[in-house]
Amino acid sequence: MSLDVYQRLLALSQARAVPAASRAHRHLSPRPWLLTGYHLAGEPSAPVAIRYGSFRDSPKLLTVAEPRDRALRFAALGGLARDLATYLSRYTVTEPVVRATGSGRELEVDHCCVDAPQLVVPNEATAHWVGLLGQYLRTLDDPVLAAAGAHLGWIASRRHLPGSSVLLTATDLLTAHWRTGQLPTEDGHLGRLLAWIEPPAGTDAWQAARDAEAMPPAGPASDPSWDQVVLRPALERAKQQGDVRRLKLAAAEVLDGAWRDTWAAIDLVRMLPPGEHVAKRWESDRWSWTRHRERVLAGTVSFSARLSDVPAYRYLHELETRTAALERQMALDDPLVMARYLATGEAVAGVVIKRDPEHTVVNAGGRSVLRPLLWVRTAAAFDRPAGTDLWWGKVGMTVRASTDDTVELMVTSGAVTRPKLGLLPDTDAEVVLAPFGPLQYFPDNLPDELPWPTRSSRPKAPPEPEQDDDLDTDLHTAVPAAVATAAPGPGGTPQADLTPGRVPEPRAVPSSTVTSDGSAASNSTAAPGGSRGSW
Amino acid sequence: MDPRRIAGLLDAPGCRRRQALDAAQVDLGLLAEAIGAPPGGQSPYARERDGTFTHLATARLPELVGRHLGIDCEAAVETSELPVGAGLWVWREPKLRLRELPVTPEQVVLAGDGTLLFPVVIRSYACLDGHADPAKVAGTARELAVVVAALRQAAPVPERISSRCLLVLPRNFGLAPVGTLLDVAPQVRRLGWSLAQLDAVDLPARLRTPQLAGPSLVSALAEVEARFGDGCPSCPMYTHCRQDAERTGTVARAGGAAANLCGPVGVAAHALALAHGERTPSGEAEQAIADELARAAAAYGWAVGSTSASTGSVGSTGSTGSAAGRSAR
Repeated sequence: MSLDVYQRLLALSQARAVPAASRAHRHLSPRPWLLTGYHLAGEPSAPVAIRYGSFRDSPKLLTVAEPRDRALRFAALGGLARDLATYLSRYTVTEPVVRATGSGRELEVDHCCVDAPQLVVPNEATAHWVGLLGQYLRTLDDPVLAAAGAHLGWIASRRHLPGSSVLLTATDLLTAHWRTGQLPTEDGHLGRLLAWIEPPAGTDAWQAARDAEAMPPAGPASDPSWDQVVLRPALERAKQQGDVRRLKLAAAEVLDGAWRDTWAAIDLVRMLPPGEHVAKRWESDRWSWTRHRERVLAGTVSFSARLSDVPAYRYLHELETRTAALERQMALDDPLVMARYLATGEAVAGVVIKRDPEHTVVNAGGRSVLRPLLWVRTAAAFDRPAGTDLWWGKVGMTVRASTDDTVELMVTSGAVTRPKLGLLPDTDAEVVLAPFGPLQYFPDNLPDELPWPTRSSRPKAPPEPEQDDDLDTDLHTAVPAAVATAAPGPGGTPQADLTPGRVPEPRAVPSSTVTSDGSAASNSTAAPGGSRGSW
Repeated sequence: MDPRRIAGLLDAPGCRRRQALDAAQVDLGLLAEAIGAPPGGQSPYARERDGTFTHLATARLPELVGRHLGIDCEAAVETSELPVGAGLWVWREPKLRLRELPVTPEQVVLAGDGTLLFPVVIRSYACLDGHADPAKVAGTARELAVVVAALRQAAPVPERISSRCLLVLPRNFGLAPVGTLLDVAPQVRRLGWSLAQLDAVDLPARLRTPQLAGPSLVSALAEVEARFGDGCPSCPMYTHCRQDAERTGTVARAGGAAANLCGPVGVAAHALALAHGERTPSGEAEQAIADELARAAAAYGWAVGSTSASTGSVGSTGSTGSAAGRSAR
């Protein structure tokens, strides 16, 4: 996108981030639950310290005096699980909603939660860690921990859906609304990003970003030298003398920066007026939360490591539908996003110089139908071919011809009857014709015969021995290990999917996607015109 | 130099400075000190976990080698040269070479089926539900490529070293080892290309001086041109080159996408001047870049104009272009 590059260059030369959006494109809950923390190096299942809660000034702090001791770890995580349950219990109020079912003609009353929980973390790595923690907790026997695991699993599964705001990362919040002049990989550092957007008085973004790098990392991996110099003595003191004060102090000190930065990111985005479609997208999250709660109550929550064919098809279909819908909605909500399409030439801005509302053509049936014509003067040549479809709000048109500074368009929908001719733009009106019409509908009907084998034809590897999964880094084996992470995925054992001689591929699906019967996507079970209509 | 460092060549393709750094075998500790880079290092907890898992996995290696490579073997045997035949060997601190560069891995584990030798590597990042972190696997594959290439150089018959390697990882959240076959042939080929580039590097005479340290080391490196890009944060010279790029206002400081679009226009101020029509493009290439950026500038000007009209909160642009009212619904 040339606009991205232009904005980055602008930011680089001004040494300050430039706005990439003028509306907030993520839903921001009035009471989000923030989480920031560290785990032991290389061991995501062994948290050292987690700071969490929905109150900026009174966060809760969880510390584990010996992260490799299961009993201590479970006790600490139990506190987090109960607090999470308390937070989630605020979102149980439902309201009746009338929805179309069946062929779309019958109506039924369904109940949807009036609001849904929202988790905000500092960066992508922490969001990934939340998913891993959920996956780990679900393997445990403790009902409180397993329930928290199921909730975290649902939260993490929403992260991969475009347009979902259940799990937000502060870095994504900021990169969606501002453009910096640094490397895109450097945008993953929350402190650097904030330095670009709001450099402290008297410093430019370069210096401020370098200063931000010197601060403790936002996690979940801690600074190796901090591990050596601070954490190790603190942990030893906690273990030997039962004195956790030093550990708590050290943890509070290093996590404070990320905690405040995450709140700062939320504050910055809150200053933007919300985009019109944000509430609609949040509605889809509310439906998903409602369904998740129903499954939790019915005890039918399930997660699979890998989707089988039809659920995978539906999941990919949902990703595509959501991606297209999100692009369209953001562009229609926000001129700064629409500018991206103007820059690439997909959209066109100009002034209507001539109209012919009475123009008619003879359709295939031999009847003469009204197809008004418009001529638009543009600043730059419109270089898409004749036949390209463009929309102005609900009015659809087709490009008939274009020259260096004019485009000739024929209106094909939205204003092709005499009563509706008033909807056409007036002469001398400034218009932006966009490649986004009324919402697109992609049917997800499957053919009768699936074009792919319904069962994996790959040879199955011999089953992996399961018995020694309980090997852990435990120093004390007081609590018998009860881990049975046998993934009941359709691939059998993990090895079945790693064909010999191939590099393991990046995950195609989130680590814990709700299975088809669970239908994490509120859309996939709804009838046409039901909740899908919201997209 | 350890395989990881040589593998780092693949992170920064086309950067002459990085190539010079490795061709001259500059001591990275001295370099970090000279440019004032933050200290790196590994967490003691990561080291402990690494050690524990390596110990556990080594004990289970014969079983994993049997399952994935079909080789029946007993516990690993110590060796001090490239082994022949069938079995499992550990070669501690081999002195290998890759072209002219010394390659000194801590140890190389090899499994042989009589004709081919397969490198085996143990890493302690988790394999969750059959998936390991792709970035880490890719890093391991690059390091393995260095080992495979160095072993091939040492072997009397290079083809006897297979590019198929056995990667052993802990499974899920525990420490039970699982094996996966990893073919690093593509990485070996890429490495060959990178090394050929390395041979072509004209080292400044000063870099050949032994015991170069401090500011003289930095200035010697600065004589070679750097190519700033998205892979730079993993390079030991990153903080130095970054400051260079910031001082000169290089387009590449804003990332690969910007550098690719701007092509021959290397300075951000020049690119912006082209976008705003304040600079006459020289030649067709610059004309094309100017057209593309001018379009973006006009679109941005239109959008900012229309937002400041409606919200009044977004200001500060240096763009031209008509600030037309927002008419899209």
